[in-house]
Amino acid sequence: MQAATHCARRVKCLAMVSTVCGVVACSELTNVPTPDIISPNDITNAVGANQQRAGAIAAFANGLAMQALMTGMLGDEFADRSGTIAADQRRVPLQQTYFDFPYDRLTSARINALAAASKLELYSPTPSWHIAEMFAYAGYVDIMDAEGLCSPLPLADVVNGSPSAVRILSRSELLKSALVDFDSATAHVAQGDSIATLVSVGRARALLDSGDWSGAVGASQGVPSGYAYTPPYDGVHQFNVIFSNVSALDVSVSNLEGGNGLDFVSAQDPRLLIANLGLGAIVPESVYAPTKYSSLASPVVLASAIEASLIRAEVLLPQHGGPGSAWLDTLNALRTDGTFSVSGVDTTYNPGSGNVAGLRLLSDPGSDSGRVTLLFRERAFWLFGYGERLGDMRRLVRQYSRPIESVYPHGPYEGGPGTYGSDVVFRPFGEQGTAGYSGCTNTGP
Amino acid sequence: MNLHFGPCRRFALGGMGAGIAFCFIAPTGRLVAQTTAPLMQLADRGPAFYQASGGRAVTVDVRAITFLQAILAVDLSDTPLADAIDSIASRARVRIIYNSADVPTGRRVTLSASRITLAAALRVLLDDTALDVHIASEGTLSLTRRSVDSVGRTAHVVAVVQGVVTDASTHAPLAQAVVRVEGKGQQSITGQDGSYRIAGLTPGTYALSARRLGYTPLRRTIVLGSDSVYRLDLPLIASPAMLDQVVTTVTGDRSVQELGHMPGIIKVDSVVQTAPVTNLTDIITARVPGVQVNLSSGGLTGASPPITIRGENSLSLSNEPLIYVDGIRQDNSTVGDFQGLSAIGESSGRFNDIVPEDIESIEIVKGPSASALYGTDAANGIIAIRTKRGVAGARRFSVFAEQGLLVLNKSEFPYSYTGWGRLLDGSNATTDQCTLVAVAARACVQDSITHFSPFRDPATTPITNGERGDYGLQLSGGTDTRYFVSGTYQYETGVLKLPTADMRLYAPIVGATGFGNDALHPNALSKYSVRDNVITNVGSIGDVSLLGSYLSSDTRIPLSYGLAGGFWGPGYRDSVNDGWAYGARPAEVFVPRHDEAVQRFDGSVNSNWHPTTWFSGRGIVGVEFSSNSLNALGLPDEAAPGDPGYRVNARTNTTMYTVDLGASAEATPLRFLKARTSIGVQYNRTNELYTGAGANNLTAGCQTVACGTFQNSAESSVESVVAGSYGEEAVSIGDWLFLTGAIRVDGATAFGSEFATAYYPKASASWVISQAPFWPHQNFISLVRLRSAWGESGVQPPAAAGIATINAGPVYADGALTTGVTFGLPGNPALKPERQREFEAGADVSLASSRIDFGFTYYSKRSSDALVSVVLPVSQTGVSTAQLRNVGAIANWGYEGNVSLQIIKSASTSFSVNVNGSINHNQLLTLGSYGAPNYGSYGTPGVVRGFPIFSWFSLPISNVRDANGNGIIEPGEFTQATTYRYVGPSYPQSQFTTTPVLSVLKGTLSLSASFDYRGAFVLENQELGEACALGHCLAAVDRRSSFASQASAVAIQGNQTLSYAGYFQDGSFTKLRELALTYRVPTSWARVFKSRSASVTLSARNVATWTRYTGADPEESSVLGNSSTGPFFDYGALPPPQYWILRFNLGM
Repeated sequence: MQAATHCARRVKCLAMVSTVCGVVACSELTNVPTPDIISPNDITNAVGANQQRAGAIAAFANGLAMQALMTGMLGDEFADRSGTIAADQRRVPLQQTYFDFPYDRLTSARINALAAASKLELYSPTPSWHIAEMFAYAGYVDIMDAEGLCSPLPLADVVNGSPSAVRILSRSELLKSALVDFDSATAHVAQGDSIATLVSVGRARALLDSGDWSGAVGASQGVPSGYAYTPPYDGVHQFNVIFSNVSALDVSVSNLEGGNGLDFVSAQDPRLLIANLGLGAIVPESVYAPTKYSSLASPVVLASAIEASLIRAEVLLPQHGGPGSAWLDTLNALRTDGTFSVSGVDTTYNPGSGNVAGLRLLSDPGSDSGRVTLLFRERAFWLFGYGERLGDMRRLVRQYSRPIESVYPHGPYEGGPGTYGSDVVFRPFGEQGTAGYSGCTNTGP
Repeated sequence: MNLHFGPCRRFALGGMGAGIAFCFIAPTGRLVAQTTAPLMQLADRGPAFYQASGGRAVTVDVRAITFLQAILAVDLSDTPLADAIDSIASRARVRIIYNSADVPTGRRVTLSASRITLAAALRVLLDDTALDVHIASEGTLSLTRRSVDSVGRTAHVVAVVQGVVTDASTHAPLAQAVVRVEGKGQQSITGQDGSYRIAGLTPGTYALSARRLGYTPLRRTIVLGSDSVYRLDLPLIASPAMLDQVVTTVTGDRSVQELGHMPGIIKVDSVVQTAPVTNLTDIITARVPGVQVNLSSGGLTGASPPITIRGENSLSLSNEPLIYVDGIRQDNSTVGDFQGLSAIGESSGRFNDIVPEDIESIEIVKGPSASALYGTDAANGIIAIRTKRGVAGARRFSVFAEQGLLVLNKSEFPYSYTGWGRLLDGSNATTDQCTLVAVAARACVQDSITHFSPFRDPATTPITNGERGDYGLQLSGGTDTRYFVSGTYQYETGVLKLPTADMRLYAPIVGATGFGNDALHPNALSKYSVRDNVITNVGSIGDVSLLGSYLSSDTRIPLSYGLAGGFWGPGYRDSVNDGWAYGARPAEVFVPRHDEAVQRFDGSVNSNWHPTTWFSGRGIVGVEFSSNSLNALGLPDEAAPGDPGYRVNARTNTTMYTVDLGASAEATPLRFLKARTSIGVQYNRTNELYTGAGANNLTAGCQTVACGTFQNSAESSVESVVAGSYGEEAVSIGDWLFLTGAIRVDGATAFGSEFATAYYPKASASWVISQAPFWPHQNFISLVRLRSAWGESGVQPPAAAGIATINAGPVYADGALTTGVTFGLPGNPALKPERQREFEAGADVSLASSRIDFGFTYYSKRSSDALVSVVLPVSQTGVSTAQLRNVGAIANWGYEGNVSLQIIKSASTSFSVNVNGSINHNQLLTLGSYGAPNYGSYGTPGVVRGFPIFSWFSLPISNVRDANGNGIIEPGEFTQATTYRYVGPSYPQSQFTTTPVLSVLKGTLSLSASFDYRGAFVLENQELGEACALGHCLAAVDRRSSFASQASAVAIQGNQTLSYAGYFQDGSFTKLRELALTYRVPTSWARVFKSRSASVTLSARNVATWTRYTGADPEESSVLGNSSTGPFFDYGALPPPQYWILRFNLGM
């Protein structure tokens, strides 16, 4: 009896201590400081709105540069010298790699831009062009996705400053989404403003992609000569990834890649000056560097008067009902003003509105096919390294009925053993869990 | 004859003399003696019969003791009393134990009776001897001496028991053995001379136990009668079966036989002296079934491989066990990525920081059934390290010196091949790209094939013989306050060197300063460590220990691509690349500096408190701090002409706090039943602070981040806490059935806001059948035990994974630097720990006096709420990220066993063989609603329901046929499946180790070996795949290659990311892991040098390998990160080298 009482007392004591211990386990003991964690609630104010705008700008700039590199890889602008960029062989990895379409960065730019626009409207409405700029970026992301990726794609709405439901959009719907964003931008900016011009060129580009020729030519009007918009690059936080890879001897400008590629090197075109850096890091072929990208801070042009002119020139092609030689005149106006400079015994055409000296006047090839070839060659050289070439190659197939085998690199792969693959677009990654999205059904151009 | 004895009463003696009874009461917990005998003269003449009950001695009614009523025929005439007692014992077939000093030597007795009971016979013989009879057990009696106090009463006052604990076979004294009075608070720890002394015992019957790691505990019953000094020497028998050893658990020290699970125990102090052990990993490797080092530490000095216990449990979290040193949780992080510059295959890490020579033992708790009380984080098992402690006695020195050679067999490295020929494009030019595909396409005509490996050529090889040194001094001694101090220095130069050809090429680049030692030995390690502890007794009720250690190490870690290029070089040596792949020669990574500097400190206070016989308390408070600094510096033009240079400096400071408080209370409510109740609280806090800075494009002449034009920096602070409490009830029935039930309650920082508390229950049973009353006593089967355990434990999610975050950092906008923010991780407020539930059951049997021991365990565990990294829609988050969700389930089940055979056991020679092994099966049960299979990719195993996690899958190649009969497989002459097929697991599923040990000349000379087999897994021979992708493997250029290998080469040339099906190989292997010859200098010789012991060991590690794997070595694995999930492939990693070590041990 005594032993039983003793045991009961002991159990009671231990149970009490255990209870205390249990309470201790769930108490404040487990709370810790989280100095490097910012809550979404922390940015619902003017400072947060402007910081999110800055974040969107950075994401957009880096995404644009990477998009320019990778679309050029899958296209014919750039060649791999590292032995690691599968897209160069037209073999897009099934899973994300570093050298991939920057779907995440551009999407980050888009949803943060739209969220920032929403917060700016609420907490920091002036200057209003900040808001317009954000909508413009969102529109451009839609265009780059439509040009670089297969179809359809998921696109998130941004409601009350936060990403919300996802819509599944075809390429044409994606381009319409871009136009909606451009409309939103226009509502916050005065005509003639730099952002307004950015929106105009973007709208023209979206309409051109959509095959809306008249709409495109309308939108491309009124762009001031010499206009060029680049997101900010400082070479540290936003940097030119093309320069970094070329200078590391991992990437080169292509020349006649896979037979169909343009002669970006051998043409010795004054619009695309080239420096030979020697052999590649892994692939023992020459590395040709585009001198326009001379540092990590070299900007990537997003929109320009040159592009607007090129859009107009395309719409003015006779096969689109353009009058006479208007298309050619538009192209030549970019190349030269028709006068010459004399240096010793040499003469050189003075620059046209494209501001590059030494470009001769073009002549009409005389056929629709020849004109298209010439026009797209002009686009390729004027817009080299701006992330437009893959979209152009797709349009050559889609809108001008060129066979893929006549547009994309093919045959033996120049970067190693094997042959070029058959991919013509990138695929989005990280969408396995997206409700209602079962991947691309159209991986063609 | 009518005898009657009863407690506290005086009884009639029936003419056979007077008796006395004792009654012990314990009003204050201390025993006192009280006599009930009013007539001392009568009372003291005859013996009393009494026995122990509940820790007290009570007189008994001898009529109730059957064996005392045995009828004897006695015929003793003038016989010495001792002989008479022995005669009586013999006739009655009982054991009678007595101290011969207590028996009057001159006394002679006479007794003749045809029918007399044993009790009566003893009464006659012991009349007037002042000896009493204690009934120790059925059939065993002890004679104890009575004394008379100052007032003439019979009094039992304090006695002392003392003796020496020795090794039963060598008779050497054993230090640090614990001699304990069972059921009491008293205990003594032996000093260097093996002596112990326990005082303050009142008369009675006691069970004394002696325990020491590595020996079978010895239990002796002793009957103490008066204030005498009793001597009881305790010879311990070495226990290969480990079953009787004592291990440390959360609730205190326990005998293994009380546990329902079988822990792995490694006696490190003996292993390090006689085995080729270079670091802690070597100690763990192939010594405990179910514990797998994945794989070895590879060839890189300073590498720290992952360890898994009983399979892979988690898809998203580390599968590493927790590491405790003397009860303090330790940083076991692994640095797999050198700040974006991946190191050569293996990872550096903290596990091998711990110096083996400082360790006394390692106990491995394998799974949730055993680790439940360790709580959240413990599901992957526990590696509990107990360091050496101060030993009582005179000051003793132990000195060791070890010198070693590291050898890597260059012929293990595969060749690259090149097909030479003439182009058929009209130029007729010579080409080194004349592959079979090119030949078939009529692009060239092949005229020769060359092969070359830069690893094998003396001028181009980066492989050399490395050196190793390890020196240490240990000091211990003291009395009531004991101390231990250890200091070691270790260095290793690794097997890498700057190749001769590279030195010639890079001499102009490095200029007049020449190559530094860093470049010449690009993988070198130096390590200093100090460890000490002081233990002092606090009266007789406890002890307090202060423990501390400090370590400083510096390791050079070359980057990966410096060696990878040697596996798929061009297949010939030219003057530009010297046989290395273009742009990937060793100097490019050997000349720039990459090193890891580590500083570690730990300190703790450890106390034990036992104020009463039934209550004890424990307390550990400690902190472990580690600082890891990664430094990288490549000067402009140093790695290669035109290289802009780079600088990285990143520091991670990790502080881990441990508070562990516990208490236990024991009770014996019934004579055959003992109960022990334990409670405790544990608090573990981890603070990891990271700061890093880096820059590219360094200004010439400057070596700091500030000089770079492309600077970046980062800082993070991650803090996590697990706080929990537990209660355990352990019951033992008759020392043969042990039942335990427990529960732990945890809260943790990383739980989501919607999840508060985790509960982890456990239960276990151990049934030592051979100790049960019904077990027939016989000699052959010395032990049979059945055991079973069930329990749950967890692994907590990464800190802050439940919290939604915003990313922030500097950006450039509006012409200035500013802060930019973007959406980060969405967080998961429902996040909770992964939960593992395990059941295990097994048996242990010991036969023929422990010459045959074997154990078997079956286990089955299931990870539920497994964290699955669910890829979040990029379209919604804007980041390529995943959210951890508790939706998965993984099963592991398998078998473990060990057999120990003492084949020869004689006075001078012994030969034993120990075999242990394990087989693990793993299966992914579900990924929840996120059921998309992940088939992995080139170099990354997949995760598919129904298969082992982290398995290889491929698109197999089939229908290979040479359609055009040209002897070359071309594109189109085989098909590649479009659906994935399971290939095999990426980590070994089975493991067996055989260890024969031969000892001759009375242990003076011993020879041991260890054969380590790993099987049932698949390796991706990526080095071969890369070579084939570049057209530089044999199958790509030689038409004599099999069609299957040609098809694989063609496929991988077509699409490297998809067509790696042909490069999976059986990774099974057997290694002669250890070989050691030890000579122990005879004690007499050692004394010449004023030493008490001396030995010399010549040993070798990784002596030979048998495998079908065609790469350099199946353990040439590239393991990234601290996850033991791999991937396992051989991308530029080094095979583990051979170690040849000569070691001297000296004890003074």
